Amino acid sequence: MGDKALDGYSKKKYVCKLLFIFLLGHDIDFGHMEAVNLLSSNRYTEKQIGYLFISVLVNSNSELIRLINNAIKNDLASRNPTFMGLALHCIANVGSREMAEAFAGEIPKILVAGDTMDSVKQSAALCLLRLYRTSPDLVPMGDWTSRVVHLLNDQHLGVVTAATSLITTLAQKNPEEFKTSVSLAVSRLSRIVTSASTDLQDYTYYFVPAPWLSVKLLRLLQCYPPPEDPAVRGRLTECLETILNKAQEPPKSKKVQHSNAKNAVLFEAISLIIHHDSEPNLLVRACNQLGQFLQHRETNLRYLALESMCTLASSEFSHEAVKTHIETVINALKTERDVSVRQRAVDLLYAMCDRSNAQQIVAEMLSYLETADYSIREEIVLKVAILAEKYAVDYTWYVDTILNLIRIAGDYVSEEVWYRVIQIVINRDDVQGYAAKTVFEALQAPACHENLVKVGGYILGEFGNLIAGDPRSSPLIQFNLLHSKFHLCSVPTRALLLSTYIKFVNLFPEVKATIQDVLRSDSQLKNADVELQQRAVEYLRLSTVASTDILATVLEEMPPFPERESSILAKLKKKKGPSTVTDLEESKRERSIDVNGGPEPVPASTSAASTPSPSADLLGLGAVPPAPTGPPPSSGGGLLVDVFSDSASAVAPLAPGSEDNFARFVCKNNGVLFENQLLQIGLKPNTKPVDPTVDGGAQVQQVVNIECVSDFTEAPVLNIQFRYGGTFQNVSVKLPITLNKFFQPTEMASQDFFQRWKQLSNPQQEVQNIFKAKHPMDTEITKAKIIGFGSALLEEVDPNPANFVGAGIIHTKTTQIGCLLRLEPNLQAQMYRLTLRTSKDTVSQRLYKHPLSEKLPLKAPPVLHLQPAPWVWREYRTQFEKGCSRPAPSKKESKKQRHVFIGLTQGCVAMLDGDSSGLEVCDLWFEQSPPLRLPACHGGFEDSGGTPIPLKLLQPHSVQPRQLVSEQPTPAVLTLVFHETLGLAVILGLHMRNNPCLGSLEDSGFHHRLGKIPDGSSSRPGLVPCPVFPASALGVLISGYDSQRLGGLQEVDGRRLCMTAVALFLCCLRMSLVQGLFEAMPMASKGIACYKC
Amino acid sequence: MERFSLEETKRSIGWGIRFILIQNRAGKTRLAKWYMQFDDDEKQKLIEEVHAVVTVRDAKHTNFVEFRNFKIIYRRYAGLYFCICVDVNDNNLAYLEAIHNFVEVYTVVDEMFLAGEIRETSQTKVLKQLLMLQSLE
Repeated sequence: MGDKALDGYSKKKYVCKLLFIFLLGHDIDFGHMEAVNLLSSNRYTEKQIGYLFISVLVNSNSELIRLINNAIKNDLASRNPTFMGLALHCIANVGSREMAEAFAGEIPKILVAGDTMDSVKQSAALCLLRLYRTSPDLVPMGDWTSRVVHLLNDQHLGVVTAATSLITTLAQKNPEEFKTSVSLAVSRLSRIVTSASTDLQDYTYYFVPAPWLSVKLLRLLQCYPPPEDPAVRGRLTECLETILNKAQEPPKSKKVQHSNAKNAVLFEAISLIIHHDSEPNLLVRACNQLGQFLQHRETNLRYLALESMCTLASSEFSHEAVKTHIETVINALKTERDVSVRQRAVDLLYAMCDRSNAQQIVAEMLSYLETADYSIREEIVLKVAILAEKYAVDYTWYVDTILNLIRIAGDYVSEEVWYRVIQIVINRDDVQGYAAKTVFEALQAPACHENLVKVGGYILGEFGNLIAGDPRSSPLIQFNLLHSKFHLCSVPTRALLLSTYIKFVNLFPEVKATIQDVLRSDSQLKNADVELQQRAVEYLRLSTVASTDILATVLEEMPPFPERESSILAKLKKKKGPSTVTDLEESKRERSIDVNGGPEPVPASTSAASTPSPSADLLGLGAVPPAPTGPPPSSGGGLLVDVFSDSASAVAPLAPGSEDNFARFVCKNNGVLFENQLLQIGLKPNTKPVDPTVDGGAQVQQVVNIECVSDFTEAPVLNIQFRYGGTFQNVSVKLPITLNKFFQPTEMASQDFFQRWKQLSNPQQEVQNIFKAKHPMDTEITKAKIIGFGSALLEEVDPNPANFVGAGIIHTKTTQIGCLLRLEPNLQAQMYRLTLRTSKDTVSQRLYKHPLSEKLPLKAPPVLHLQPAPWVWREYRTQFEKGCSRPAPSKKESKKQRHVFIGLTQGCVAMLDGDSSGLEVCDLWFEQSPPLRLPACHGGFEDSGGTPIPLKLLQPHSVQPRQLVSEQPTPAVLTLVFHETLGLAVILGLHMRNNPCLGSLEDSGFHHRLGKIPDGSSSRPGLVPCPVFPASALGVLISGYDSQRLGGLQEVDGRRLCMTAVALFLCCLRMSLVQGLFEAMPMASKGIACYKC
Repeated sequence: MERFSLEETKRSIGWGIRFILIQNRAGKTRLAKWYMQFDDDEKQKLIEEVHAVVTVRDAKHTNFVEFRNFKIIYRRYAGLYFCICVDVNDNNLAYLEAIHNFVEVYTVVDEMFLAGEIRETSQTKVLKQLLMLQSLE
């Protein structure tokens, strides 16, 4: 093109061509500059092409953006409406953050300026809206907001249309600021709906006055509750009535455009009526109107009527009116051609369902299910399951319904549905016999769905005895019936059935031999699936070795499930997302709260109150050496414990460490924190900034603002660096900031307190300690300390006036954590019992835990709580549940289990080796990064009965602590293996599937340790080639050392790389011991007390 | 009526139009207007999905179809599908008629729709503005 500058026309032409090339899909890497130049042209067409180009090809090239913004700025300031329009359209189309940064302040001014042209106002309003949507933080609220509201009064309906959109969006975030828009919107709406069809000229669309504007105004009103001013309210009601009346008038035109526009307004008006939910008259009229539409020949209207009615059904005023249309809706379900209409009909039936029509609706849904579209079957199944449960008066009906559901649409019955049946049957005694009988009959069908086998297996395993009296369903017939399905089922179902069989062994001793034969067969014992193999091995051993009593305990009937939100409901919610169905569901639940009545089953709790909670004494709390009896360690370091048990005068010497002073600040806010020859640091809340130089002997104040981001244990450290006599001095002082400093006291009544107290009943949320008072138990001092601790002291809350209760909220940046505490003094014994419950378990621990104690050298060996006995029992249950699984335990729960039976200290897994003369730590894994000093190095263990077990650590440095990396809660399965020749061996095994720590296990010389199992035998040939041992393999190894089986397992292992680890195994126990162990089971407190051989 | 606090009434009134697509029966895009940030791959995917969803429906079906978390309101004119994607709780018929109201293409879009909202509904106003713009040089 030479060096001659292009004229405007050519520039425009070439930029146009580049744009065309780009739109054809080619990359453009030049010409941007020319396009930007076009922006500053004074010709409309050139400018327009320039804007077009950058709207399409804009990128974040900083240099260009600056130029573009400059051009836009010029155009905005040009006062030429055409140019301003182009600039605003460009901003609105690009809508980037950079644009928002540059113009979000400017546009509101243009919008409310008196001399701005209407068309520019329109564009400015929507342009601002776009910027607000992309970067709400950049659009400042201000004076302009009140003036924007007045645009609703503007003469130009186009401006009103644009402004309404803007106001609606802004009002959702800032309802207070835009409150005045309500009355303006109502009067504007009123003028529109009462105008004659020709009044609005341009804005009348097929004889409907300003339909879109009406819709927008009605939507704006849905951001607010019904107007409080009776005049405004009356006017709005009039408008809504007029709209409803117009729907009854004969149409002014036969065209579909006319009816669409009219109905758009009508449906929005109905939405507003439903939203206000306050005028019964309007609600019923709306319902009748929708009822007419239900039979309309237009599919669109039928669809919309069903949809709107769904929300109407949740209003108490119109629920009954909606119910009258049930036949029409059922008919729609059967005859509509469009699946989305049928879907709406299902939604509506679900919404209108209550106790009076539940049987009919469930029956209709079930029959529709047989022909329903595959895409909506699962949802219908969930809905049927929920309704059947919710409105079941008679639980036999419920069981029948669910079994029907499985029969008709078994493939669509998700796990949640059949888990729920099991939960309900287990929790309700009255239906168990019926359920057993019904599933037994249903299983007679030659082809039945696998889900039915699961339900059947579970229920017969639990309650088969209830029907065993009938010769037609004798134990053997039950077993044969189930086993006839076994080979057709998938692995999880088979695993479940194996559990059923072992339950049968307990229920029906007469079929024991048959079942043992089945378990013993090669297809079970050598099954390629490790889970099945393991179950078969274990169950076979269990049935062979254990006495009837033991079996009865281990295989006892499942305890009732804790009542919780129906997992199906949760699933439906997840499926639907945040739609009206869930809102509806919630509001309905409120009304029909009694539906699922009945006393809440008490969850089986293993943590007996008498047991010292395992979390009550944690690593680092120091404490006394293991004592055979008596209360838990007393001088432990809880924040509060310290306060009440330390010496009251607190005349600790001002040591350079300052740590001794620290504890005093737990309940105090001022005093001397640190002192040496040069410097004294005091503490005083709320002071002013400091001067750079400090004169000798002078006192200066420095403000430190502290915000709590999340709960913490370690107090922040203040580093002070200063120059004294030419040398730098460094002083680090721990600031006495403990978690309780962020307390806000909360006053509450006795009833509230205990209600909340009960809500925080999760064992993790509670920390309790009993300790001796070290100074006179003075009520007033104690009160002052509780208040100083930060919580409110609640008077007259505890029925025992001697007790103290406190409540407070800890404010952190992200959350607020409610804390309740209760201090019960015992004057005779000079003891306190302190209980803390908070809504966050780590906070309980941290409030309790003395932040200082971590720094102090450990005075006493840490305590290992080995509690295998109750967990043997628990885990067997869990394993049985696993096949038919109650909902997966939450992360917290699974963690808890792991901690407990892993023992040792928090978050630590130890592999132990040895015999009763002493245990040896072979490997240690930590959940968090390992501590620098191994707790195990410090000493011994004690069982929870208090008997010390010496811990031998032959080569302390050979133990390399590792971090146990696991993203997900590790499924921990306890393995119990019985040894034939030695009597019994108990192995507490920990499965950790897919856990990276496996690799480390392999190379830690695991095999050799296996060989060292203290049965006197040395390592065995054939062990070494096995790369990683599954727990079951280990079971086989130990119980039989069967080389043939081992051979089989090697093959299995060759294919299965992800496998199991045995992390903790205790030494060999004699038969009598295990017997004792099982006997001790129900008593959680005994723990491993029987470990005394 | 103390039942309504501002908190409760803060339900989402919607974001307006997410995008407008005009496609022929073969799925070729004649016009696309995006009111949300999408990258090119996403846009292409949306275009294909919308086409798949819309073309299988016959005239007896509704003009609304659920699409991901949104809904498509569409109308067919001869071989062209005019599709508007909006929030599920938006007013179906208002957008359905907005399609009809929207006659001329591209230059006219900004006059009628801006920032995902209906900007101007008077056809004469729009045409007048267009005539005015055409007269400019």
